[in-house]
Amino acid sequence: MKNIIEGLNKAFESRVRLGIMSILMVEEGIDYNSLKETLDVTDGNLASHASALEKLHYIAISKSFVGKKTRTVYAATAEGRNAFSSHLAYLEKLLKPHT
Amino acid sequence: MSESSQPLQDLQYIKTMMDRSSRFETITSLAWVLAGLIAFGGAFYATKFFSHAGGYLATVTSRDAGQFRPLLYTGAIAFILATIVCMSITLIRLRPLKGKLLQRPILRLAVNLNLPLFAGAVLLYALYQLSGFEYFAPVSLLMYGLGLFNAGRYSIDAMRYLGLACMALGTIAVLMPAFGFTAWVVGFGVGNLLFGIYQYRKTGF
Repeated sequence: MKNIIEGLNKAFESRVRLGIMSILMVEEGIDYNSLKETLDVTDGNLASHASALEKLHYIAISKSFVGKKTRTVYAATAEGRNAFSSHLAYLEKLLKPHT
Repeated sequence: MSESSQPLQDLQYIKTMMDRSSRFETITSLAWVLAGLIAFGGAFYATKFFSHAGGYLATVTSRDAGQFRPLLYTGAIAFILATIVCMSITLIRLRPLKGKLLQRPILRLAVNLNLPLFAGAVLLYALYQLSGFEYFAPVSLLMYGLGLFNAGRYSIDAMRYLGLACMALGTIAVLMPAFGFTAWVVGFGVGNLLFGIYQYRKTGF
């Protein structure tokens, strides 16, 4: 049991990060406001967790201008997808201790 | 937002988040490429059945169902084969994500793709009754394009452009029936293949 728990990815311990990755697994790319709305979190919360995931190269953040406003788009990287998939596999294992 | 350590709650949370967002992009690049190759194979095989004098156009404008039927069967088998291959690859690919998590996004994608295809099948049946064989290729392209355009809302944007391209090809082929076979090969073969390569370069297998 202990080994399995160690297999859990520390990067996904926070709910917000878990949520960001879940959404980016199904969305090609999502802008800041849609992400915030879907997750139902505050600005500061989202920004800090997103940049933590970016530092791990799990997500890519790109900024562009729409008129005078910046539009920030988030997308999962291949590395992030793999990490999240194996994290999911561990979660599943935890629920079935006998396997 | 509390720190989480409960696997069951985590999984439920992930499921909620995936459901709440509407898009699903994991029809794998490999599936598109194989669909394209199957279309090429079908097209190549179908050339066997062209009546010798005038090729494709003579075959579909002959009003002779006997001459057209081998083409129809080839196309139908290619389509069914491609569907089975794509579905199996997608399901195998998604196994690590465990079916249930993605059930609703996949269902949405499937319904939106398949409804126009169903309408297309009904139209083709009507055309068959009227011996309008030269419109089979264009109508397939139009309805396939419509399906992709529709389903693209729940998947990657590029799928919508592939849909538009297929619809454009279908439109041209309605106006120029002689172009029908080429349009079919370009849409189902080249189109799917290129789309698969595009997606491979973007997200891998």
